[in-house]
Amino acid sequence: MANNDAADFDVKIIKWNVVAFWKWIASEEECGICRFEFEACCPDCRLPGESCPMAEGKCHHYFHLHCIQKWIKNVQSKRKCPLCRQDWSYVEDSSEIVL
Amino acid sequence: MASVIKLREDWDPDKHSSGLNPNTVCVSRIRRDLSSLLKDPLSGILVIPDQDDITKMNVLVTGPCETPYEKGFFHFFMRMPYNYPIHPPRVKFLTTGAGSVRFNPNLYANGKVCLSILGTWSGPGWTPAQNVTSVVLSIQSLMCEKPYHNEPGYEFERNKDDVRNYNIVIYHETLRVGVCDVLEGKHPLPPNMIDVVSDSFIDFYDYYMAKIDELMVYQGKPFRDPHGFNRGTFNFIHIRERMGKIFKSIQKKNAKAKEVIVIDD
Repeated sequence: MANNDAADFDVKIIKWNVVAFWKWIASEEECGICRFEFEACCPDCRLPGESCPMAEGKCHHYFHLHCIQKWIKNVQSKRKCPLCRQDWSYVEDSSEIVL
Repeated sequence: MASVIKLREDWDPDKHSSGLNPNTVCVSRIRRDLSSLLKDPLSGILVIPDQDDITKMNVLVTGPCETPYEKGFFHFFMRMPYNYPIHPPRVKFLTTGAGSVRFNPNLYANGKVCLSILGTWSGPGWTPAQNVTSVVLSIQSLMCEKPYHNEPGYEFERNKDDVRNYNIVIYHETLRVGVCDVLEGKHPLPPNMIDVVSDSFIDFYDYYMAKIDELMVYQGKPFRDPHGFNRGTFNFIHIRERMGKIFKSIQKKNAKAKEVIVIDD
């Protein structure tokens, strides 16, 4: 190896592992219905992520999509948000995963 | 515009059950509720889940200070439906002197607990954001300083001394049923609750005696329940006698327990 070329360090990359971290962007840590974190899935699902997304309401409350769907389709819900009792409607495109 | 509110008829956890097994959401959510209760225990409230069935729990609420329920022991049975938390729990009040005492306009002698979040009263209904903690806190909040006003239409005192007259009846029934009956075993409690209640009774004994002395002026007089729920005659002398006996028997039991420990050594 030439002494005058310190940058020419002989490293051979055999394998590399990429670690990525993802998180739902929400003002709360956990779903107000099942009380599991958004990064975990709702109790009916097995895998977190796109298959068990988070949903945001126009009132800025967050739930697992599956959890809020179950509540909303129940007659007694009167389609109100479980946390603030305002009329529930989804913020569009709340199911965005940020890497 | 006032809408017609349909209150649920199927409130009784002993009589109504879907018979369906609790779903995974229900069980995992009950576990979460219980672990958050363990992390942040509520003062004066004990929740003991059934060992064999997590959907059933016994709740003991100690009457809050500065209210006519003070230091009484009030037992509730709560059962979660198979689809909890989409649907609310069913709750039954059990410290009713075998169905003879109405402790509050919202706590019926038949055990019905009238609370809007349980669907048994008008007002903001159940939402799945509620949990065991919020339900037991709502129940505890019924036991307030002036329960007279809990009855609709009685937001103001209708006749002079109504609030006071109602409170004295509640004080008397708290000491008679919520303390004496409970400690004498007339009202069956789960075994792990009996120990808690016995220990508390010894701690509260001086309060009970002072309260009885204060209310002794009503001895022998008839109840004047402005709501007409409860009838009877004040008998603080008898309550004092009963409490004295209870105190002695607990002390005896404790002394025996100590002896056993000494022998074991």
